[in-house]
Amino acid sequence: MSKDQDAALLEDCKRGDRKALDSLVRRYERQVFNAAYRMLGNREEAADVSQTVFLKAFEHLDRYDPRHKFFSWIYRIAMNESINQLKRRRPTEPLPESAQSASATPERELEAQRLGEDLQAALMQLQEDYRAVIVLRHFSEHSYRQIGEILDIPEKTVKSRLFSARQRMKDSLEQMGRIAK
Amino acid sequence: MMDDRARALVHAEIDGVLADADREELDQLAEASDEIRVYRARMQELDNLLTDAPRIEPPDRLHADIMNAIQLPAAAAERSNIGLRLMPGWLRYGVGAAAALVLAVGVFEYRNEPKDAFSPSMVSGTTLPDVRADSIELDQARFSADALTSTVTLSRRGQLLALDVEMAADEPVSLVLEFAESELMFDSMTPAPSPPDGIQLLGQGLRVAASGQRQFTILLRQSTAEAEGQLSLTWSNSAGVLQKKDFSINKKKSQG
Repeated sequence: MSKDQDAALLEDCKRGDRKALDSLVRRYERQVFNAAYRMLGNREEAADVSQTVFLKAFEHLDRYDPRHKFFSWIYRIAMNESINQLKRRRPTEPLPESAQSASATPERELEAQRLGEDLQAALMQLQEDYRAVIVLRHFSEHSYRQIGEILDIPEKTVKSRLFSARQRMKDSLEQMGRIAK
Repeated sequence: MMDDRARALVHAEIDGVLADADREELDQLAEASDEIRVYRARMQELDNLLTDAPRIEPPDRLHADIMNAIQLPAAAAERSNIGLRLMPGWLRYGVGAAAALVLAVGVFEYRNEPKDAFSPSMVSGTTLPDVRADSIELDQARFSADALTSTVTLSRRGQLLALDVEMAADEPVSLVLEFAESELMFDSMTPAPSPPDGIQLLGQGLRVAASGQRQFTILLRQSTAEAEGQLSLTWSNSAGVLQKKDFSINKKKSQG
């Protein structure tokens, strides 16, 4: 969706148009949920965070700067909320869950599931700021510039964090036998 | 030892921003160095793994939960009320009666379905029974500050726990109830003279948004009838946390 379309829908939302709200939420809810899931490794928390993200975005529409893209703003809230959620976790809380049920899964699906779990485990071993750039680059497919805008850091920092984050993920996945040493 | 230039080229290739001339340079560097060739291959493996990772489907109710949690500005409601005000009295009465009937049926349906987030406007002014007569007070908290005055009373009403909330706040506030340790879950809202603006169900709790003067009751259900534990209540606004209070459940009245 273009910036202009988002801007028009946002204007309609400000006038109380719930159809416009429905369109905007449908446009971004899956992406926000996936970004939150990759940051948190837990579906339930990711759903809570997604709900909070949209709630905060629309509660504070007056703070939205229309010179920036709506999705950058909403991703920024999503990243901040995910990191806040990680900080709220108690030290004794269990490790992230598997994304799918393991019961009666055919072999190929089971392998895909295990791979997904290993990837998520490798992600969860990263520091939050490194995890954020991997999530935004590889799962949300943002450019360096967009990631910089979302995280409020220079593009140069985006690149250097990506280099380090990938190196660490590679090392973790080598240890798990997912990447050749 | 691989230099920064080679590393930057490998990552630019992964990110799809490598110019043709730079690709030639990277090819030459990789040809001349096993270390660069292996690094490039491993990074491509990593990229493939990340690209192939499944996208996770959100819960079915996520969209409805988000939509129910968000209250847009009142402009639309104002507009719809203009039509109502222009109607003749007898027609206004008819519309009101029809709306009440729809609301009552809706609440009956709502009470018989599993619940997640919702807008309190869906359940306010309902025909739910008032069981306040059987109420046993367990605990009460009174807050009085510039930004918020409130009284929250926790009572047992039959099989349910009731939180009666009276509040007055100059700016929007949120009330977060956390019941992770109490095996509690949200049950319903009772008829409310002035319900909150929005309710959001959290993983193990509930967030209520409101402003101005409000009075409403939240009913909670215990998964284990005799469970003991605590219900944490936090009032906050845009400036931060205003008040906190832990309520004891299945215990004598605690210190306020």
